[in-house]
Amino acid sequence: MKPEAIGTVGLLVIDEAFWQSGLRGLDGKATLTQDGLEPGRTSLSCYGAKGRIDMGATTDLVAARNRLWKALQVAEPGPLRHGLLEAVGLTPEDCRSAATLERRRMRDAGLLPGMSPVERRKRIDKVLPPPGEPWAPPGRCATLWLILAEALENGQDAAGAELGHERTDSGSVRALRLRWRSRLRAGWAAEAPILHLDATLRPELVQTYLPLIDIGAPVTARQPHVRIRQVTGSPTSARGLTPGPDAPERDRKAAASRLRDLAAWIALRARQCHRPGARIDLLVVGQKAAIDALRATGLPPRVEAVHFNAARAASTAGATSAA
Amino acid sequence: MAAVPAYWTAVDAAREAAQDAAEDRNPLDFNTAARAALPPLLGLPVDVGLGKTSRARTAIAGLLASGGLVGRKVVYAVPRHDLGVEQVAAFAGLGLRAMLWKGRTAPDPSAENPDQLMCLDSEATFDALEVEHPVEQSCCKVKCCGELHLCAHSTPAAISGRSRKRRPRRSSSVPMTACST
Repeated sequence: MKPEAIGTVGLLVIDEAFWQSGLRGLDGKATLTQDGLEPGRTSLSCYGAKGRIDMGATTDLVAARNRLWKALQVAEPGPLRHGLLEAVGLTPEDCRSAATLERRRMRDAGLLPGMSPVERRKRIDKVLPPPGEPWAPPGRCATLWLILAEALENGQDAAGAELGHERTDSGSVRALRLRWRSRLRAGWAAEAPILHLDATLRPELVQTYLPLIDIGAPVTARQPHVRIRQVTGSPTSARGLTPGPDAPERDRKAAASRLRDLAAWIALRARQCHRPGARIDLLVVGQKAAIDALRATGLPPRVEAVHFNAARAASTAGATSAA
Repeated sequence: MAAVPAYWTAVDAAREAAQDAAEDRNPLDFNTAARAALPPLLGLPVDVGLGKTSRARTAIAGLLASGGLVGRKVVYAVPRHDLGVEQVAAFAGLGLRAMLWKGRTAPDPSAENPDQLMCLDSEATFDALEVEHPVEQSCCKVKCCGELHLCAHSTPAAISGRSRKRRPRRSSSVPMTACST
């Protein structure tokens, strides 16, 4: 949600690719256990505005869940098949309606700003099922239904709802792993003009978020003397070189080893590219954290290192070679 | 950038026309502004190192100076907070006042607490998320039954989003820079 203090957005400039930020569930953590989706659960009740059970809505949701349950009982591991979803009688309209009803399962816990942690926990426990009972979070269930609706509309298997096995404290259980694409938040981008700048902009990826966007002609530099050498399979991601503070010890050790290798390679390449009289032998461009880490290790003389967003400054300084 | 002032002029004109009581219109039609014009959306694939960011900054400065946004803000979204800090400094160099907005769980280390996050009561936000409630109303500020409920860490400045020390209410999915003249 956009903070009120920002006010009305007159122009939104998105610098660098953003489409990956909208992909959800890629870490495999957005799961729903099959047990939690069982229609007979007491937690499968829809509530009205005053916190009372809405019997009509509950009945409709149970009916939709019954059809889904039938499909899950016979589904094989992998994406839920389009034919199976149709065979149990699910339609896109049913699924979208069920998504709305799922959100009504969550009662208002009455959490208020300034409330003590003890009071908050007491109120939360009142609206959640008892510990140990399978629980399918309403928002996640709604997402599942929307994935199924889209699959049915497009006549495709539900690639974003993949049945598999999940390890829990009680053993292995059947579970759905969800993957989906979220939308741009309306508060930021509903009415505002948008300018999106990206060196590697791919229309088919951006247009899934902004269908009406005009993609301008690519602006590229003439590079008659540039030779590109791509080293595939090398660990050059930001995480591979500079893992976060929460990363496991083995990842940090691996990153330190990669940085050492990279520093050695940079030193070698700088010697190869050396020209008498040249102010800079080698320009290294990379992620900011990785460049900072390389600088900290000490770069050879006449090697310039800049991060991606500062590449222009380096190019104006007259760098001669790039790595 | 030239399309931006034209778009907002069209939107403002449509809103004014909609408010004109003399005009015969459906009182339940709230979509006049939306029909006035579609916001210009432009994607530019610009090679690395050609100066797209600095050109964009200059263009934003020109746009704000021309008054084409009529008091509205420019939001500049970047993928990381450290880049946002650089943008704020760069905008300041152009005479623009920019603020950096971070998410609640972004690091905000201080001398007393190097592990401090932007939100000073992150447990409360996790509790709200556990029961899928809006964090803003459940943890930061809400008026309920005529009574104003505030986060214990809130100050008037933090609520308005201006403080650099107390920022429990700032939320955005990506680091953002909002700037104005």
